[in-house]
Order: sequence, then structure tokens, then C-alpha cells
Amino acid sequence: MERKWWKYFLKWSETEEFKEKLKTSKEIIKQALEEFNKPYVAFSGGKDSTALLHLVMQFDRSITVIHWDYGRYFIPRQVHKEILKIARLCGAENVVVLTSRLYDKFKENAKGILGKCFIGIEIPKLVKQGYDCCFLALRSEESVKRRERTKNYREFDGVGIWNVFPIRDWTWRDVWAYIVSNKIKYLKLYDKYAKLLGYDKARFVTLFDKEFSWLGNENVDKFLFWKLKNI
Amino acid sequence: MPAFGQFEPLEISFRMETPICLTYPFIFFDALIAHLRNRYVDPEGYRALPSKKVVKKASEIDIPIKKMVLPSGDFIYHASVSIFDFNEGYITTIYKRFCEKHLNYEKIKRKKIDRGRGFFRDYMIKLVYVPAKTVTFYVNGDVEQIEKLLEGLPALGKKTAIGFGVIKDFKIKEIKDDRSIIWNGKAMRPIPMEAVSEASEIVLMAYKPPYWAKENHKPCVPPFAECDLWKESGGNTS
Repeated sequence: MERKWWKYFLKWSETEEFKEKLKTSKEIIKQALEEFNKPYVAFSGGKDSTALLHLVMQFDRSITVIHWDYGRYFIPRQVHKEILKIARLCGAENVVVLTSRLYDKFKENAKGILGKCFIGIEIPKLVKQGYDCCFLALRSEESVKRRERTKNYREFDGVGIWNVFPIRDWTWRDVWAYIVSNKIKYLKLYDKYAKLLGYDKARFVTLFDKEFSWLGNENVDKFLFWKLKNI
Repeated sequence: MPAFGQFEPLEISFRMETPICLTYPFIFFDALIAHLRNRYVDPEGYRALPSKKVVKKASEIDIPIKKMVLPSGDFIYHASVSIFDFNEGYITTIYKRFCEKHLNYEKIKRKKIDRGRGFFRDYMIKLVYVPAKTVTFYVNGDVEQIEKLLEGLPALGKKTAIGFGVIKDFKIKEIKDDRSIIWNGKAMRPIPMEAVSEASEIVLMAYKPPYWAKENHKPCVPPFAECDLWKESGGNTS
């Protein structure tokens, strides 16, 4: 991260506004941990879930961290390794990686597998294993749909898990401020994205994903991360 | 067989009028010439070629650039990738919308065109552009043939129909040393690993046109990485 941005986020972390939001988030997590028996943290490796994971790990390091692996065509293996390293550095002791064989079958044309396999198959399995709460790093700032979805700070998924949104009110500045002020390691590719798009618009879920080609993300990924493209 | 003249090391520089839109950080000069040569040889048939399948007739067309034969019998062209005088990228967004202006609803038997999804959906696409003033390529080829082909080239890069990458003019200069494959110890284009003895980096990428074809991908030394060739081929003049 460039020094000017690092300084900016560090200054932001000293504001009352940020401190207030951090306090609220901690209260939400504390309350959920008291209320639910077996929670887990959903961790994608992105900046939001990195901040959330670090926040949750301050309370209990033994909480299960679940990472959905989109396969080598959308998450190059070196990025995948970096994601798992970040999870460990955040203090996670129990990281579970789930994936689907369909990613290898359909390769770069895989579409909608998260919905079919993770939400359709893995979540009911998690419910059977006794999990009753999931910490999710959705923020209201991201989209109108997310603002509506997260307005009560939690939602019932209909299967048996309560999704809790502790950083619902955070802005991109708050997320980066938390990362910078706590010296948390984040994915290197964010700095490359930020150079082109800015830290406000730098978002990461998958790379070279045709599902999002209508937004042009594929063009940006091919330009920035051409060395990582898996054929 | 086309009769190409003598191959000489050349420096080709384009002066640009507008920024160049890219979806990959490089423009490959051999691909550019192969595209122009195909268009020249078969102007009508070229437009009808499939975009996702390699057509042997089109991919094996002779281009006026020297070849370097690899130990496996394969080859690469003596043509560098683009060198921009300004290397930073910027983002722009273009909006692709279905135009209903000339649509005859009675003929298509539809009351409404759904622009939210399906074949006619609207697109909001992020594009990367490089606002370079000059783009330079190094090549070892037939100066006359290359000049003739480049005269029919109005623009470089992607989205040229909406004004990106318009060429102001170009200049071809004969140079003494061949900089098309390696220059100052750095690869000037993707070079398959079988041709190099040492390399600072290896990337799986295409090494000959068409660059989008999966069958043309091999572990290569990427452009501008440090490397050493096993031995330089004399090249053939076909």
C-alpha cells in the first residue's frame, strides 16, 4: 500500500466515527457468541472477510472458519495459498476448505456452483453438524440489495442458520482503517486493483470469472493478472 | 508461396492519436501482421472465420517476418511485443445498449425486448486503456511487405470502432541489431522454455498467433523477463 493511503487509513482509524462502528460490531459479535451454540465465520479472503475474521478471532480462536474454494480456474493456486495464510495469520485455528468437483469439470465456464453446491448441499450439512450461526462480512454500502438484506444485522437463512452481519455499517474506509491499524496481512492483489480502480472500488471474489464479464471485471483481471491465468 | 524480400531488423513506431484500449498488457506484432495478411489474402472469407476454432488455412499463412526454429521443430516469429512510452493503465466504462431505433416489432413477433437478461441484455463494461503517445515494435522482416500491410491499419488495440487506439502515423526504421527476440538480456516476446538456457520467470502463455488459441500455449519466458537463449536460429525465409 502506498504511504499516502496508509497514512490516510491510519488517521481514519483514529476518528470517533470509526471507533463507534468498531464498538457496535464488537457488541454484535459478543451478543451472537453468547446466544448461539456453534457459530462459524465465512471467509472468502477478501478485505471485508479478513477484517471480520480478525475481529471474531479476538473473542474466540477456536471458532470454525469456512472457506469456499472456487477452484484453480477462478482462484489461482498461489492466491488460494495466500488466502489460507491470511486466515492463519488472523489467528484462525480451525479452517475448513470446502469446494466442488464441478469446478474442475466445467473449468473456466463453471457458473452458479456456489449456489448449487455450497448453499444447496454444504449448508444443510453444516446445520446437521450443529452449526447455528454464520458471521458474514456483508456491508450495506456494497449494494441496495445488501442494504435491505442486512438491515436487521441478522437474518434466518431458512435452513437452520442465522446469518449475522457485524460490519454491516462499515464503509470501505472503515475496513481499510481496521486492516491498517491492526497491521493485518491482506491479499497482495488489492494493491494492484487499487492502482487502477482506487481502494474504494477494489473488490475481489474470483478472478477471470465469466459470470461477471458483463461488468468488465474479466477485462481488468486479464490485464492485471495475466500471469495467473490458468489455461 | 509468396515471395518475400530480404529480412532486416526493423524498429516500427506508431504515433497515436487516442489512447489504446487493452484486455491484455501487450500487443503482439506477429499477430497484428498475421491479421492484416489474412485480411489481405482473403478479404471476404476472413470475416467469416470462426472465432473460437483455429482454422489451419488461416493460422498457417505466411507472413513477412523471419522465423526462429525451436528444437522441437516449432517456431516463433522475430517480432516483439508492444513497447509503450507510457505504461500506466486507466479505467473507463462503456455502456453497450440494445438500440430499438430500427426494430420492426411486428416482424420479430415480440411486444418487448428484455434488456435486463438474455441475448439483448445491456452491458456496463470496464475497460483498461493506456494513454501512450507512441508504441514501438521491433521486428525482423520484409520492410516493403510490412509497410504495405500496415498502410491498411487504422487503429491498434480493442474497441477501435468507438475511437480507441487511432494511429496518427507510423515510421519504419532499419536498425543494425536484431531486438525482436532478446534485447539487453531481456525477452522482447514470449519465448518457449525449450529455447532458453536460463530464465528469471516462467509463465504459461501463447507464443505464436493466434494468441487466443489454447494449443499455442506453452511454458514461456514472459516479455521483459531476463533470459538467455540456447542458441539463436538462423531462421528461414519462407
